[in-house]
Amino acid sequence: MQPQSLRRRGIFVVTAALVALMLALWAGGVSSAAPSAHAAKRKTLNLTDTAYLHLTRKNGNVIYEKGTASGTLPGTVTARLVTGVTKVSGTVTFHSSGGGTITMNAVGYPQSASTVTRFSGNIAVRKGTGRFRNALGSGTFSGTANRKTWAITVRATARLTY
Amino acid sequence: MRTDSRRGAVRAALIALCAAGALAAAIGPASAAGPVRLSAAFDSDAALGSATALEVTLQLDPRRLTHAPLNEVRFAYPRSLGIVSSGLGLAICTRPETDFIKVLIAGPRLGGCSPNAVMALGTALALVELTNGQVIPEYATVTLMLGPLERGRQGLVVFVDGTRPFGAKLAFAGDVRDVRAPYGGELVVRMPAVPGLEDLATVSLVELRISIGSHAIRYYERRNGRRVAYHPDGVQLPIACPARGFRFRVRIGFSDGSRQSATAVTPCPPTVAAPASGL
Repeated sequence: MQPQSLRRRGIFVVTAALVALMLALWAGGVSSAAPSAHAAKRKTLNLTDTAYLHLTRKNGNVIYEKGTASGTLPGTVTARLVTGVTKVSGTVTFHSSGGGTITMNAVGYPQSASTVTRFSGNIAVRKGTGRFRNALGSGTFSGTANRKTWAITVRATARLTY
Repeated sequence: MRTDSRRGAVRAALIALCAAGALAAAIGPASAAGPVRLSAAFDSDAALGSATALEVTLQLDPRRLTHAPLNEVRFAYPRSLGIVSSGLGLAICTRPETDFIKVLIAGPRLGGCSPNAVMALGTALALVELTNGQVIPEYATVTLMLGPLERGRQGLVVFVDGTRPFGAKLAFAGDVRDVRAPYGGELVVRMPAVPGLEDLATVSLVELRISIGSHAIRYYERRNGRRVAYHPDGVQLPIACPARGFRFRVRIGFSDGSRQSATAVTPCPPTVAAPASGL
Protein backbone atom coordinates (compact mmCIF):
# COMPACT_ATOMS: atom_id res chain seq x y z
CA MET A 1 0.00 0.00 0.00
CA GLN A 2 2.71 2.46 0.92
CA PRO A 3 4.57 2.38 -2.45
CA GLN A 4 1.26 2.94 -4.31
CA SER A 5 0.46 5.90 -2.03
CA LEU A 6 3.85 7.40 -2.71
CA ARG A 7 3.40 6.94 -6.50
CA ARG A 8 -0.03 8.65 -6.34
CA ARG A 9 1.42 11.46 -4.28
CA GLY A 10 4.22 11.82 -6.86
CA ILE A 11 1.76 12.01 -9.74
CA PHE A 12 -0.21 14.63 -7.81
CA VAL A 13 2.90 16.74 -7.22
CA VAL A 14 3.92 16.57 -10.90
CA THR A 15 0.37 17.48 -12.00
CA ALA A 16 0.25 20.35 -9.57
CA ALA A 17 3.61 21.59 -10.82
CA LEU A 18 2.41 21.45 -14.45
CA VAL A 19 -0.77 23.34 -13.59
CA ALA A 20 1.24 25.91 -11.70
CA LEU A 21 3.61 26.25 -14.68
CA MET A 22 0.70 26.69 -17.12
CA LEU A 23 -0.85 29.27 -14.81
CA ALA A 24 2.45 31.06 -14.61
CA LEU A 25 2.84 31.05 -18.41
CA TRP A 26 -0.72 32.32 -18.83
CA ALA A 27 -0.14 35.03 -16.25
CA GLY A 28 3.10 35.96 -17.99
CA GLY A 29 1.31 36.25 -21.30
CA VAL A 30 -1.28 38.54 -19.78
CA SER A 31 1.46 40.49 -18.10
CA SER A 32 3.46 40.94 -21.31
CA ALA A 33 0.37 42.08 -23.14
CA ALA A 34 -0.29 44.74 -20.54
CA PRO A 35 2.14 47.44 -21.80
CA SER A 36 0.72 47.37 -25.31
CA ALA A 37 -2.77 47.82 -23.90
CA HIS A 38 -1.42 50.66 -21.81
CA ALA A 39 0.45 52.10 -24.79
CA ALA A 40 -2.79 52.38 -26.70
CA LYS A 41 -4.03 54.76 -24.00
CA ARG A 42 -0.98 57.02 -24.10
CA LYS A 43 -1.59 60.69 -24.74
CA THR A 44 0.59 62.94 -26.84
CA LEU A 45 1.29 66.52 -25.92
CA ASN A 46 3.15 69.10 -27.98
CA LEU A 47 4.27 71.66 -25.48
CA THR A 48 5.87 75.06 -25.76
CA ASP A 49 6.83 76.73 -22.53
CA THR A 50 8.91 79.69 -21.48
CA ALA A 51 10.68 79.51 -18.12
CA TYR A 52 12.32 82.23 -16.07
CA LEU A 53 14.90 80.84 -13.66
CA HIS A 54 17.09 82.38 -10.99
CA LEU A 55 20.14 81.08 -9.15
CA THR A 56 19.48 79.42 -5.80
CA ARG A 57 23.01 78.22 -5.05
CA LYS A 58 26.36 77.18 -6.52
CA ASN A 59 28.43 74.12 -5.78
CA GLY A 60 31.70 74.44 -7.63
CA ASN A 61 30.93 73.95 -11.29
CA VAL A 62 27.27 73.07 -10.54
CA ILE A 63 24.56 75.71 -10.41
CA TYR A 64 21.07 75.22 -9.01
CA GLU A 65 18.18 77.19 -10.42
CA LYS A 66 14.50 77.66 -9.67
CA GLY A 67 11.71 79.52 -11.43
CA THR A 68 8.35 79.54 -13.12
CA ALA A 69 7.14 78.36 -16.50
CA SER A 70 4.26 79.59 -18.61
CA GLY A 71 2.77 78.22 -21.80
CA THR A 72 1.17 74.88 -22.63
CA LEU A 73 1.95 73.53 -19.17
CA PRO A 74 2.32 76.30 -16.61
CA GLY A 75 4.14 75.47 -13.40
CA THR A 76 7.42 75.74 -11.56
CA VAL A 77 10.85 74.53 -12.63
CA THR A 78 13.97 73.45 -10.74
CA ALA A 79 17.28 72.69 -12.41
CA ARG A 80 20.69 71.32 -11.55
CA LEU A 81 23.19 72.30 -14.23
CA VAL A 82 26.81 71.23 -14.58
CA THR A 83 28.75 74.00 -16.28
CA GLY A 84 31.48 72.90 -18.65
CA VAL A 85 33.68 74.94 -20.92
CA THR A 86 31.69 74.41 -24.08
CA LYS A 87 28.49 72.82 -22.82
CA VAL A 88 26.13 72.83 -19.90
CA SER A 89 24.30 69.64 -19.00
CA GLY A 90 21.95 68.72 -16.24
CA THR A 91 18.57 67.72 -14.99
CA VAL A 92 15.50 69.91 -15.18
CA THR A 93 12.32 69.05 -13.27
CA PHE A 94 9.06 70.65 -14.27
CA HIS A 95 6.27 70.74 -11.68
CA SER A 96 2.97 71.23 -13.52
CA SER A 97 0.37 73.47 -11.88
CA GLY A 98 -2.20 70.83 -12.83
CA GLY A 99 -0.29 68.11 -10.98
CA GLY A 100 2.52 65.76 -11.88
CA THR A 101 6.16 66.34 -12.62
CA ILE A 102 8.34 65.80 -15.66
CA THR A 103 12.08 65.26 -15.27
CA MET A 104 14.28 65.74 -18.28
CA ASN A 105 17.96 65.67 -19.16
CA ALA A 106 19.19 68.80 -20.88
CA VAL A 107 22.37 69.54 -22.79
CA GLY A 108 22.96 73.11 -23.89
CA TYR A 109 25.68 74.82 -25.86
CA PRO A 110 26.60 78.48 -25.43
CA GLN A 111 26.67 80.54 -28.60
CA SER A 112 28.50 83.54 -27.21
CA ALA A 113 30.64 84.43 -24.21
CA SER A 114 29.32 87.84 -23.27
CA THR A 115 27.61 88.70 -19.97
CA VAL A 116 24.24 87.70 -21.39
CA THR A 117 25.03 84.64 -23.41
CA ARG A 118 22.72 82.86 -25.81
CA PHE A 119 22.46 79.10 -25.76
CA SER A 120 20.51 76.30 -27.35
CA GLY A 121 20.27 72.58 -26.84
CA ASN A 122 18.26 69.40 -26.56
CA ILE A 123 16.10 67.82 -23.90
CA ALA A 124 15.12 64.21 -23.34
CA VAL A 125 12.22 63.45 -21.04
CA ARG A 126 13.47 60.83 -18.63
CA LYS A 127 10.67 60.24 -16.17
CA GLY A 128 7.63 61.73 -14.53
CA THR A 129 5.27 61.43 -11.64
CA GLY A 130 1.49 61.66 -11.20
CA ARG A 131 -0.27 61.95 -14.54
CA PHE A 132 3.14 62.05 -16.23
CA ARG A 133 4.46 58.94 -14.51
CA ASN A 134 5.24 57.18 -17.81
CA ALA A 135 6.28 60.28 -19.66
CA LEU A 136 8.67 60.01 -22.57
CA GLY A 137 9.68 62.53 -25.16
CA SER A 138 12.25 64.89 -26.51
CA GLY A 139 12.60 68.46 -27.63
CA THR A 140 14.78 71.48 -28.04
CA PHE A 141 15.34 74.70 -26.17
CA SER A 142 17.02 78.05 -26.56
CA GLY A 143 17.45 81.04 -24.36
CA THR A 144 19.75 83.44 -22.62
CA ALA A 145 21.75 83.29 -19.40
CA ASN A 146 23.15 86.25 -17.52
CA ARG A 147 26.56 85.00 -16.41
CA LYS A 148 26.81 87.56 -13.62
CA THR A 149 23.49 86.80 -11.93
CA TRP A 150 22.78 83.42 -13.56
CA ALA A 151 19.25 84.54 -14.37
CA ILE A 152 18.12 82.29 -17.20
CA THR A 153 15.28 82.66 -19.69
CA VAL A 154 14.57 79.55 -21.71
CA ARG A 155 11.96 78.65 -24.31
CA ALA A 156 11.45 74.93 -24.80
CA THR A 157 9.40 72.93 -27.26
CA ALA A 158 8.91 69.22 -26.78
CA ARG A 159 6.73 66.32 -27.89
CA LEU A 160 5.65 64.27 -24.94
CA THR A 161 3.75 61.00 -24.55
CA TYR A 162 2.43 59.89 -21.19
CA MET B 1 60.17 98.50 -43.23
CA ARG B 2 58.19 98.30 -39.96
CA THR B 3 59.71 94.90 -39.24
CA ASP B 4 63.19 96.28 -39.77
CA SER B 5 62.54 99.21 -37.48
CA ARG B 6 61.09 96.94 -34.78
CA ARG B 7 64.04 94.59 -35.07
CA GLY B 8 66.35 97.59 -34.85
CA ALA B 9 64.60 98.82 -31.74
CA VAL B 10 64.85 95.41 -30.08
CA ARG B 11 68.54 95.14 -31.01
CA ALA B 12 69.26 98.66 -29.73
CA ALA B 13 67.55 97.89 -26.44
CA LEU B 14 69.48 94.67 -26.04
CA ILE B 15 72.82 96.30 -26.84
CA ALA B 16 72.13 99.16 -24.46
CA LEU B 17 71.32 96.77 -21.68
CA CYS B 18 74.42 94.71 -22.34
CA ALA B 19 76.55 97.82 -22.28
CA ALA B 20 75.06 98.78 -18.96
CA GLY B 21 76.09 95.41 -17.62
CA ALA B 22 72.58 94.33 -16.68
CA LEU B 23 73.25 90.65 -16.30
CA ALA B 24 71.25 87.92 -14.73
CA ALA B 25 71.63 87.82 -10.99
CA ALA B 26 68.25 87.30 -9.42
CA ILE B 27 67.68 83.67 -10.27
CA GLY B 28 67.45 81.30 -7.33
CA PRO B 29 69.11 77.90 -7.06
CA ALA B 30 67.84 74.99 -9.11
CA SER B 31 65.10 72.89 -7.61
CA ALA B 32 65.91 69.44 -6.34
CA ALA B 33 62.64 68.26 -7.92
CA GLY B 34 61.90 68.00 -11.64
CA PRO B 35 62.76 70.78 -14.07
CA VAL B 36 59.11 71.91 -14.03
CA ARG B 37 57.29 72.58 -10.79
CA LEU B 38 53.67 73.50 -10.31
CA SER B 39 51.84 74.69 -7.23
CA ALA B 40 48.28 75.91 -6.79
CA ALA B 41 46.73 77.51 -3.74
CA PHE B 42 43.45 79.08 -2.75
CA ASP B 43 43.01 82.18 -0.59
CA SER B 44 44.22 81.60 2.97
CA ASP B 45 40.65 82.21 4.20
CA ALA B 46 38.97 80.19 1.42
CA ALA B 47 36.22 77.80 2.48
CA LEU B 48 34.44 75.03 0.62
CA GLY B 49 31.35 76.36 -1.14
CA SER B 50 32.72 79.87 -1.47
CA ALA B 51 34.50 81.86 -4.17
CA THR B 52 38.27 82.28 -4.03
CA ALA B 53 41.26 83.35 -6.04
CA LEU B 54 43.36 80.51 -7.36
CA GLU B 55 47.09 81.24 -7.22
CA VAL B 56 49.06 79.15 -9.68
CA THR B 57 52.85 79.15 -9.74
CA LEU B 58 54.84 77.52 -12.48
CA GLN B 59 58.61 77.30 -12.13
CA LEU B 60 61.00 76.07 -14.82
CA ASP B 61 64.68 75.35 -14.49
CA PRO B 62 66.22 76.29 -17.87
CA ARG B 63 69.47 74.53 -16.98
CA ARG B 64 67.61 71.22 -16.89
CA LEU B 65 65.37 71.83 -19.88
CA THR B 66 65.85 71.86 -23.61
CA HIS B 67 67.38 75.03 -25.00
CA ALA B 68 64.49 75.33 -27.46
CA PRO B 69 61.97 78.05 -26.62
CA LEU B 70 58.71 77.16 -24.96
CA ASN B 71 55.76 77.34 -27.34
CA GLU B 72 52.72 76.07 -25.43
CA VAL B 73 51.46 75.92 -21.85
CA ARG B 74 48.47 73.79 -20.85
CA PHE B 75 47.07 74.12 -17.37
CA ALA B 76 44.36 71.66 -16.31
CA TYR B 77 42.14 72.28 -13.30
CA PRO B 78 39.85 69.94 -11.33
CA ARG B 79 36.39 69.13 -12.65
CA SER B 80 34.58 70.28 -9.55
CA LEU B 81 36.17 73.73 -9.61
CA GLY B 82 33.76 76.40 -10.86
CA ILE B 83 35.62 78.44 -13.45
CA VAL B 84 32.70 78.78 -15.85
CA SER B 85 30.27 79.27 -12.95
CA SER B 86 32.46 82.02 -11.47
CA GLY B 87 31.79 85.68 -12.13
CA LEU B 88 34.91 85.94 -14.29
CA GLY B 89 35.07 86.85 -17.95
CA LEU B 90 31.91 88.88 -18.44
CA ALA B 91 33.21 90.63 -21.55
CA ILE B 92 35.14 89.40 -24.56
CA CYS B 93 38.57 90.58 -25.62
CA THR B 94 38.91 90.41 -29.39
CA ARG B 95 42.21 91.18 -31.05
CA PRO B 96 43.07 90.86 -34.73
CA GLU B 97 44.61 87.54 -35.71
CA THR B 98 47.73 89.38 -36.91
CA ASP B 99 48.51 90.34 -33.28
CA PHE B 100 49.07 86.68 -32.43
CA ILE B 101 51.35 86.25 -35.45
CA LYS B 102 53.40 89.38 -34.75
CA VAL B 103 53.29 88.65 -30.97
CA LEU B 104 55.10 91.92 -30.27
CA ILE B 105 52.33 94.49 -30.33
CA ALA B 106 51.82 98.12 -29.54
CA GLY B 107 48.68 99.15 -27.81
CA PRO B 108 47.08 100.54 -24.70
CA ARG B 109 46.81 98.66 -21.42
CA LEU B 110 44.64 95.53 -21.81
CA GLY B 111 45.10 95.93 -25.56
CA GLY B 112 42.07 98.19 -25.61
CA CYS B 113 39.84 95.42 -24.24
CA SER B 114 37.22 95.79 -21.53
CA PRO B 115 38.47 95.28 -17.95
CA ASN B 116 35.43 93.01 -17.55
CA ALA B 117 37.22 90.45 -19.73
CA VAL B 118 40.09 89.98 -17.24
CA MET B 119 40.10 86.55 -15.63
CA ALA B 120 43.57 86.43 -14.10
CA LEU B 121 46.50 88.68 -13.28
CA GLY B 122 50.06 87.69 -12.63
CA THR B 123 53.75 88.13 -13.17
CA ALA B 124 56.40 86.37 -15.20
CA LEU B 125 60.15 86.15 -15.13
CA ALA B 126 62.06 85.15 -18.23
CA LEU B 127 65.72 84.89 -19.06
CA VAL B 128 66.76 86.60 -22.26
CA GLU B 129 69.97 85.00 -23.52
CA LEU B 130 71.77 87.06 -26.09
CA THR B 131 73.78 85.58 -28.92
CA ASN B 132 76.98 86.55 -27.10
CA GLY B 133 75.96 84.41 -24.16
CA GLN B 134 74.88 87.17 -21.84
CA VAL B 135 71.69 86.49 -19.90
CA ILE B 136 69.29 89.20 -18.84
CA PRO B 137 66.30 88.61 -16.56
CA GLU B 138 63.12 90.21 -17.85
CA TYR B 139 60.18 90.89 -15.54
CA ALA B 140 56.67 91.22 -16.87
CA THR B 141 53.06 91.41 -15.81
CA VAL B 142 50.60 88.94 -17.25
CA THR B 143 46.90 89.46 -17.95
CA LEU B 144 44.64 86.58 -18.96
CA MET B 145 41.40 87.62 -20.65
CA LEU B 146 38.37 85.88 -22.05
CA GLY B 147 38.43 85.74 -25.83
CA PRO B 148 35.67 85.05 -28.33
CA LEU B 149 33.81 81.75 -28.61
CA GLU B 150 34.77 80.38 -32.01
CA ARG B 151 34.16 77.01 -33.64
CA GLY B 152 33.01 75.56 -30.34
CA ARG B 153 36.12 76.67 -28.51
CA GLN B 154 36.25 79.30 -25.83
CA GLY B 155 39.09 81.65 -26.71
CA LEU B 156 41.62 83.30 -24.41
CA VAL B 157 43.87 86.30 -24.92
CA VAL B 158 47.05 86.72 -22.90
CA PHE B 159 48.99 89.97 -22.69
CA VAL B 160 52.52 89.95 -21.34
CA ASP B 161 53.73 93.45 -20.53
CA GLY B 162 57.46 93.64 -19.95
CA THR B 163 58.15 95.92 -17.03
CA ARG B 164 61.95 95.91 -16.91
CA PRO B 165 64.32 96.09 -18.62
CA PHE B 166 62.76 95.69 -22.10
CA GLY B 167 59.18 96.80 -21.67
CA ALA B 168 57.80 94.96 -24.69
CA LYS B 169 54.11 94.08 -24.96
CA LEU B 170 53.37 90.57 -26.21
CA ALA B 171 50.02 89.05 -27.21
CA PHE B 172 49.30 85.33 -27.19
CA ALA B 173 46.16 83.43 -28.14
CA GLY B 174 44.73 80.47 -26.29
CA ASP B 175 41.57 78.65 -25.46
CA VAL B 176 39.83 76.69 -22.73
CA ARG B 177 39.03 73.06 -23.46
CA ASP B 178 37.07 70.28 -21.83
CA VAL B 179 39.39 67.49 -20.70
CA ARG B 180 38.96 64.06 -19.18
CA ALA B 181 38.41 63.51 -15.47
CA PRO B 182 39.70 64.18 -12.91
CA TYR B 183 40.24 67.46 -14.71
CA GLY B 184 37.35 69.61 -15.83
CA GLY B 185 39.02 72.02 -18.18
CA GLU B 186 42.37 73.05 -19.55
CA LEU B 187 43.66 76.54 -20.24
CA VAL B 188 45.88 76.40 -23.32
CA VAL B 189 48.15 79.27 -24.31
CA ARG B 190 50.13 79.10 -27.53
CA MET B 191 53.39 81.04 -27.44
CA PRO B 192 55.05 81.22 -30.85
CA ALA B 193 58.50 82.75 -31.24
CA VAL B 194 58.58 86.52 -31.46
CA PRO B 195 59.32 87.34 -35.10
CA GLY B 196 62.54 89.29 -35.36
CA LEU B 197 63.85 88.14 -31.98
CA GLU B 198 64.92 84.60 -32.93
CA ASP B 199 68.26 85.74 -34.34
CA LEU B 200 69.01 88.06 -31.46
CA ALA B 201 68.12 86.22 -28.30
CA THR B 202 66.55 83.15 -26.78
CA VAL B 203 63.81 83.77 -24.23
CA SER B 204 63.30 81.14 -21.51
CA LEU B 205 60.37 81.38 -19.13
CA VAL B 206 61.59 80.79 -15.58
CA GLU B 207 58.59 81.58 -13.45
CA LEU B 208 54.95 82.35 -14.03
CA ARG B 209 52.67 83.35 -11.17
CA ILE B 210 49.06 83.88 -12.03
CA SER B 211 46.03 84.49 -9.88
CA ILE B 212 42.74 83.41 -11.42
CA GLY B 213 40.07 85.63 -9.88
CA SER B 214 42.76 87.86 -8.35
CA HIS B 215 41.57 90.33 -5.75
CA ALA B 216 43.17 93.06 -7.86
CA ILE B 217 40.66 92.47 -10.67
CA ARG B 218 38.08 95.22 -10.98
CA TYR B 219 34.98 95.04 -13.15
CA TYR B 220 32.68 97.93 -13.94
CA GLU B 221 28.94 98.10 -14.28
CA ARG B 222 26.28 100.77 -14.56
CA ARG B 223 24.17 101.38 -11.47
CA ASN B 224 21.68 104.23 -11.57
CA GLY B 225 23.54 105.72 -14.50
CA ARG B 226 26.88 105.65 -12.69
CA ARG B 227 29.91 103.50 -13.51
CA VAL B 228 30.62 101.45 -10.42
CA ALA B 229 33.66 99.22 -9.83
CA TYR B 230 33.36 95.85 -8.13
CA HIS B 231 35.44 92.75 -7.56
CA PRO B 232 33.97 89.78 -9.45
CA ASP B 233 33.44 86.46 -7.70
CA GLY B 234 36.47 84.28 -8.18
CA VAL B 235 36.73 80.55 -8.70
CA GLN B 236 33.79 78.74 -7.13
CA LEU B 237 34.78 75.94 -4.75
CA PRO B 238 32.52 72.90 -4.34
CA ILE B 239 30.87 72.20 -1.00
CA ALA B 240 32.66 68.86 -0.73
CA CYS B 241 36.30 68.10 -1.33
CA PRO B 242 37.29 65.75 -4.16
CA ALA B 243 39.04 62.57 -3.09
CA ARG B 244 42.75 63.22 -2.49
CA GLY B 245 42.36 66.99 -2.83
CA PHE B 246 42.24 69.29 -5.85
CA ARG B 247 44.49 68.02 -8.60
CA PHE B 248 46.15 70.30 -11.15
CA ARG B 249 48.42 69.54 -14.08
CA VAL B 250 50.63 71.59 -16.34
CA ARG B 251 52.02 70.41 -19.66
CA ILE B 252 54.60 72.45 -21.50
CA GLY B 253 55.62 72.10 -25.11
CA PHE B 254 58.87 73.33 -26.63
CA SER B 255 59.59 74.29 -30.21
CA ASP B 256 61.83 71.22 -30.69
CA GLY B 257 58.83 68.99 -29.97
CA SER B 258 59.86 67.99 -26.46
CA ARG B 259 57.37 68.15 -23.61
CA GLN B 260 57.44 68.42 -19.85
CA SER B 261 54.70 68.12 -17.31
CA ALA B 262 54.10 68.52 -13.61
CA THR B 263 51.19 68.00 -11.27
CA ALA B 264 50.12 69.53 -8.01
CA VAL B 265 47.60 68.62 -5.36
CA THR B 266 46.03 71.33 -3.26
CA PRO B 267 44.58 70.24 0.06
CA CYS B 268 41.00 70.95 0.91
CA PRO B 269 40.12 74.23 2.54
CA PRO B 270 37.87 74.03 5.60
CA THR B 271 34.14 73.59 5.16
CA VAL B 272 31.86 76.59 5.12
CA ALA B 273 31.24 77.95 8.58
CA ALA B 274 27.59 77.68 9.51
CA PRO B 275 25.96 81.12 9.44
CA ALA B 276 25.01 82.48 12.82
CA SER B 277 21.32 81.84 13.38
CA GLY B 278 20.89 84.65 15.86
CA LEU B 279 18.52 82.54 17.91
